[in-house]
Amino acid sequence: MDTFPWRGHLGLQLLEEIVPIINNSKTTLLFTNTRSQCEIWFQKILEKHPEYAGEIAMHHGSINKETRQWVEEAIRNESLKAVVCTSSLDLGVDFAPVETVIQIGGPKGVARFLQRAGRSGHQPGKESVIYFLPTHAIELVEASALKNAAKTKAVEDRVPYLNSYDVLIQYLISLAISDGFIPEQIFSEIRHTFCYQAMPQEHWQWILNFIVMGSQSLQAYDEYKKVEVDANGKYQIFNRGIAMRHRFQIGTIVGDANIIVRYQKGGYIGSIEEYFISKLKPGDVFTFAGRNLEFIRVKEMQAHVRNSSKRTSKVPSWMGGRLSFSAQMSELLRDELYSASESEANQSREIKALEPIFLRQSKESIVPKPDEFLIETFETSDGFHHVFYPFEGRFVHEAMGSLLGYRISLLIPITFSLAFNDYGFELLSDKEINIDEVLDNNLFSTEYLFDDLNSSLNSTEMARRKFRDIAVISGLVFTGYPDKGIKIKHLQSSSQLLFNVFRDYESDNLLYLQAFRETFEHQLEEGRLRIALERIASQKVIWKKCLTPTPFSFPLITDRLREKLSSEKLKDRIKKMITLMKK
Amino acid sequence: MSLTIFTIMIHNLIIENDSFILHPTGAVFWEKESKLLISDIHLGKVSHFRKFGMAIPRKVIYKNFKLLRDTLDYFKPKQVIFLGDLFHSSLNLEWALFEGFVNESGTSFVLVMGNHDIISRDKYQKIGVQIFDKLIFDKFLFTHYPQEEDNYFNFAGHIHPAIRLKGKGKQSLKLPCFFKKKNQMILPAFGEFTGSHVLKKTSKVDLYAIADEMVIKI
Repeated sequence: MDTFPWRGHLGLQLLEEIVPIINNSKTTLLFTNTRSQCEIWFQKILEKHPEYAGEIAMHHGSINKETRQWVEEAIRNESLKAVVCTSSLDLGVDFAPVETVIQIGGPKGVARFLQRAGRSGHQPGKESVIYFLPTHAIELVEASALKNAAKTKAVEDRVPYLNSYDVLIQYLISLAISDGFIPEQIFSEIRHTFCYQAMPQEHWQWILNFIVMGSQSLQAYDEYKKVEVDANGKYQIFNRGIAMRHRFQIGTIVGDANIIVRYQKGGYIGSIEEYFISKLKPGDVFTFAGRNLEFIRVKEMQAHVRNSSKRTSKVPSWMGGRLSFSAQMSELLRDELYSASESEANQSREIKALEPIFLRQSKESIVPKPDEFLIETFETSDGFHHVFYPFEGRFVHEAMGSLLGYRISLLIPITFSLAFNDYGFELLSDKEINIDEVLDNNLFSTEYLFDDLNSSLNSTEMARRKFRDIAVISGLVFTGYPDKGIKIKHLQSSSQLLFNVFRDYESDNLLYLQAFRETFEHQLEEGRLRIALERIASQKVIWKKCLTPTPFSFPLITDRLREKLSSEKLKDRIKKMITLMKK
Repeated sequence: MSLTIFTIMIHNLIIENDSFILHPTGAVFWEKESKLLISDIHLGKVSHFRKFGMAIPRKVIYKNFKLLRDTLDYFKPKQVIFLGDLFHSSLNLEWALFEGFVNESGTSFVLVMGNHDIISRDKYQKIGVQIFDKLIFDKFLFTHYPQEEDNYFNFAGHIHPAIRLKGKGKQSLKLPCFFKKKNQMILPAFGEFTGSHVLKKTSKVDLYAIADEMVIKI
C-alpha cells in the first residue's frame, strides 16, 4: 500500500492482479474510462503476458466497425479470454460467456457501475461479478462507496434536457429536405413532447424565421438560403447541396473533427481526433488500435501510417466526456471518507488499506470529519495553491471554484487557474489569497448565487464548449464529409470563432442562449451548488497552511487541464508574462 | 461590446530606415509613401456562409467595413495594399458593399492575389483595383504567401499569426500578432470572423501582439 500512487489514472501497477481473474473466468470484460486508457491496457497486458496473444482483444468507439463486430462475435463464440473496452460495450450487447467484469478506475456513477456489472453472468439465475481496480489511492474510497451504493441501490436520477432548440432545428431541417412541413401541424406535434412542452410561441416563430431567413427579419444584400416557403405555406428545402450537407450531419452525438487512419497501401484502421494528429511530426510513432504505427503524412483528411517496431509512449487521447459524481455518489463518498476518523470496526477494508495515506495526510493537514470543511494552502514553483475539499463531485466543484474565484476577484485584481476533481477544487494564482479575508467576507454565501455565477468568466468558457455541440447539431458549422477525404472549400469555421461572433453581434440568438441555459441546468447545477454551500455554512472551516502538497491535493495540483478566470487588466497580465519570458 | 475604440495604442517601428506604424486592427502604415497594408480580411465570408445555409450574424459584415473605414480615416493613406485573401470566396452581394467602399474612399487600391482570391481580375479592374501576383517598391517586396528574397524586406499575410503567452499559475493567453524576422514581417488577419494560427517565439523574431486596442512588443 505504501507504493500505491497518489495520483494517476492508468492503474497499470495492478496489472498482475487481474491475471488470475482472467484465467479463472471464461471471458472477462475490462472496462476502462477512456479510449487511450483502453489502448494502453491492451498494449501492456500483451507486453507482460504474450501468452494471451490471439485470446485478448480491444473494443472502443474509434476502431473500425468490422473489427468491433468481429470482437463482439468472438465473445459470443467464446474464443476470447478477455476484452479491454470502453463504454462502447456498455449497452445493448448480451454476451452469455462473460463471467466476470473488471472496472479499471472510478466509474463515476452508481448506475454505470451496476450496468457494467450486469454485462457479466447475463443469464437467468446467474450472478454478476465485477471487480473494481482503483487507479490511485483515493479511488479506494470510491470503491468502498460503490459497494454501499450497490447494496442500497442508490442509483442517480437524470436531469432531462428541455427546449433543446439545436435538436429541434435539426429535426425541422430533416423534415424540410424530405416532403416539407406545415408549421401549424408540426407545432402541435412538438408541443406534445416532454422536451418542448413549455416552448413559448415566440420561440417557435424565432426558429421558423431562423431557418428561413437566417435572422429575424429580411435584410437587403442577404443571400441566406436554407428553407423555402411555397405558396401553400409548406416549408421545404430544394437546394441539393444544403440537403446533402444536412444528411451528412444528422445526429446529436458530436465528436471532434476526426481523421481517418489508414495504411499507405489502403487498409483502414480507425479514426482519431484531428487534434491529436495535428501534434504529430512525420516519423513519430504512436499506439492505436493495439498497434504501433509510424505517422507518415496527412493527405486529404486521412493520416497515412505504417507499422513500426519502435516502442512509444504516444497514445491518442480523446477529448470526450469527463464524468462527474452524482449527488448520491458524492454523499456516499463523503460518508466513506468520514469513517476514517471512526473506530476500525466501522471501517471498510478499503478505508483500512488507506491508513498510510491518511497518516501522511494528517502530518501537515487533516482528514476532515463530517462537521469540518478543509482548506489547504501552500506554495510551489507553480505559484500559490489554494485547495478546497467539499467532496461534492466534479461539476459542483467546477461551479463552486468559478463562484469563489469570481468573488475573490472582486476583492482584488487577480488571475486564477482552476482545477477540480470529484473531491475538491484548487485555485492557483501568482498571488497569495488571505483565506481569512475570504471567510470574513462570507464568500461561500448563497446570496446572489445565480448572478455571481453568471458573471464569473468561467460560465462563459463552459458555455463556449457547450456551444460547440449546439453549433454542429443545429447546422451552424459543417464538419465536413466523413470518409470522403474532401475538405469543403471555404465553408470551414470553428465553433470557437462562431461563439465570439454571436457574443459580440447577436447575443439574443436562441442557440447562443441555449449554451448558457444548458451550462446552468446541467453542468453548474445551481441547485446542487446551493445545497453544498448550505452544508459548508454549517461546517467548521479548518484552514491548514502547509509547507508541501498533501496526498489529497496531489491529483488536483497536477491536473493540466484548467479553467481560467481573471480580474486583472489584460495589459498588466501581458506585462507579467513578458517579464517571466525574459528571465 | 468592447469594440468602441477609445484610446488606440499604435507601435512605431523602423524597417530599412523607413518608419512604419503597426495598428491594433492588424494594419501597417508606411509613413513616407503613405501606403496602408492590410492582410487577410476575408470579405464576403459571412455572406458566403449564409448563402450555403449557415446563419452567421449579418452584423459582422458591416463591422468589417466599418473597421476598414475607421482605419482609412485614421491614416488617410494615398494607397491601400491588400496582401491577399481580400475576398473569402466567389462573388456574392458583399461585392456591392466593397464597390461602394472603393468609390467613396478616394484612395487607390492594390490587391496582391492570395489563395482565397478566386474572383476574376477583370471584376477588380473594373472598379479600379489594381491586381498583382507580387509587388516591389524600392527595398520592399509585398506578397500573400511569406516569401524571402535576397536584398528585399518582405511583407506578407496568409498565416494569420498569433502568439501564446504563458504566465505563473499555469496562465495562458492567445493573441493575434505581427510576426517580424530580419527581412520579413507577417501581418495578422484584419477584422472579425477570421481565425488565427499560433507561432513560436524564437530569439530571431520580434513579435508585436494585439491586445484590445493596443499593440505591445513581446
